[in-house]
Amino acid sequence: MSRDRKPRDGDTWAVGRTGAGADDVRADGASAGPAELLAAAVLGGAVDPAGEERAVAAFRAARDGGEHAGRRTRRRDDWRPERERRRLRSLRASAMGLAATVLLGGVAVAAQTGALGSPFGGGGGGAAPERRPSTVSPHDSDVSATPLAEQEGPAHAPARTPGTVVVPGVSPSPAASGRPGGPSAPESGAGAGPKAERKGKSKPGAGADTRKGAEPGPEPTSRTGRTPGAPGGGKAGDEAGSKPHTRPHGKPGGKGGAKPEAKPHGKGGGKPHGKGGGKSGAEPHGKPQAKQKTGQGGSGEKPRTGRDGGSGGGGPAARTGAEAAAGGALGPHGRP
Amino acid sequence: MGAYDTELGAAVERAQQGDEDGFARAYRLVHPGLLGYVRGLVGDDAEDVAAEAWLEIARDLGRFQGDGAGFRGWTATIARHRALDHLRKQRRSPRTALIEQDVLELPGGQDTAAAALESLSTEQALALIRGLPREQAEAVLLRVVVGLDGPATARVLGKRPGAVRTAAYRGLRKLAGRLAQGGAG
Repeated sequence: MSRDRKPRDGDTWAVGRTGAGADDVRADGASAGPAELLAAAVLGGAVDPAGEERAVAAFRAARDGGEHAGRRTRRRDDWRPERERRRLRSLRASAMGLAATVLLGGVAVAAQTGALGSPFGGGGGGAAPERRPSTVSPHDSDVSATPLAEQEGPAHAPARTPGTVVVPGVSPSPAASGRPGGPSAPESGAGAGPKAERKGKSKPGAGADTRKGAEPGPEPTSRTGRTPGAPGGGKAGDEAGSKPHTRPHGKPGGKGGAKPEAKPHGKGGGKPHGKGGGKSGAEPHGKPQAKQKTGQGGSGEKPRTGRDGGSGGGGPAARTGAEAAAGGALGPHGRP
Repeated sequence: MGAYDTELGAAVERAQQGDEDGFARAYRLVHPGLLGYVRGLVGDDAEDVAAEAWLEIARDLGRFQGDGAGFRGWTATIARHRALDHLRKQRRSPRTALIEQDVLELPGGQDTAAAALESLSTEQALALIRGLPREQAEAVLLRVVVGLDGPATARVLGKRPGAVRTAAYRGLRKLAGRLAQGGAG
């Protein structure tokens, strides 16, 4: 038998009367487990000669009627061992893929809508200040993974807007933003695209996004204003820092938390988060992302500061990972 | 599931080639567990429901692909469909009110589940199982009585393996508790 009946997790009961149980249990006899006894009781040694005869007669009729030959095996009829394993694996794989997609999409949306604070700006006071327009100080550089709240600096403000992702876009961080910002921005742009565009020009790269070319990341600035919903979300985003801002903002951004897989699908560098810095959460490590974020946060932050206060909040969470990285990257730029 | 699965797989293959004795052998290996499972679902009408299942199994034998363990899972799925159809027609829930009564009649003086199990009658065992929540009862029956492994049980029930593991574990634990209490659980 290919299948090994050894007891597995919680398998102590996995003994079948009809020879299905573990061999060792059967061999024991006297020390049969409770499952064996239960099975024995239920089965009660049922012998059914009449039933067998009826079944065999049905078999004969089907066989002679040609019902057995050339029959197509439907999925439900396929119980081959390899197929079982493949089925389980593919289910898992598809579930993971779906979750990752949802997560990233959510991050993108959150980033666009400002629900996620930019990693740098929002980091410091991510949780609280996010909404404060002026409070956000884009301190992206300081973000070193700590609560963006501290950072709050100017960098944070812009960072708050989820969409913006700490991109240093603000200005100086062209280098930082260029890289990571790009990719993330695209993502957020992609996901949040519609939103970002609505809000501000998120897509066109609000300009803040110096990084890559103003990928959606820079939008943050534009977004800042708008993230009406984001502010709250932004904070949540902070938590996302540890977990990609999953949800707090009520926007799909929440998803980020779900899977750190964070596939960087960020268009640009594959750093996913342009958006909401928080998102990087998916990549909780934020390091690589951090770069991106900074780009985003940086760029976005500065301008937004006023508005992004709220979004900044989200940023902090996202930032945790990103900030640390971004903070370093932005350092100079993060702060307005 | 153990040594019999190899024999079962061989018997099924012979049956698919047209060998009547192979089918009879497969029937003897599978029917007891199948009947126990169906009893846990429908109670008294189990023999009729199981007979219906065997008609379908005999008819669709040409479609089946798999080994002995797979055959158990396949036949359990067919039996389950028949049982659920039967219940729908009868508009009856899988459990009857007699269960508590049966349970109360468990032998006294049994302070361990194992000891209680040893003197457990079929009716009592089934009554106990049918006293469980449906999901737990099915998980226990498929794992313990039919002899399916975790993944196969999950497939028959259409649930995740983790959920099935939990249901089986809880069901068995509850049964053990009830037995230890002499049915007062």
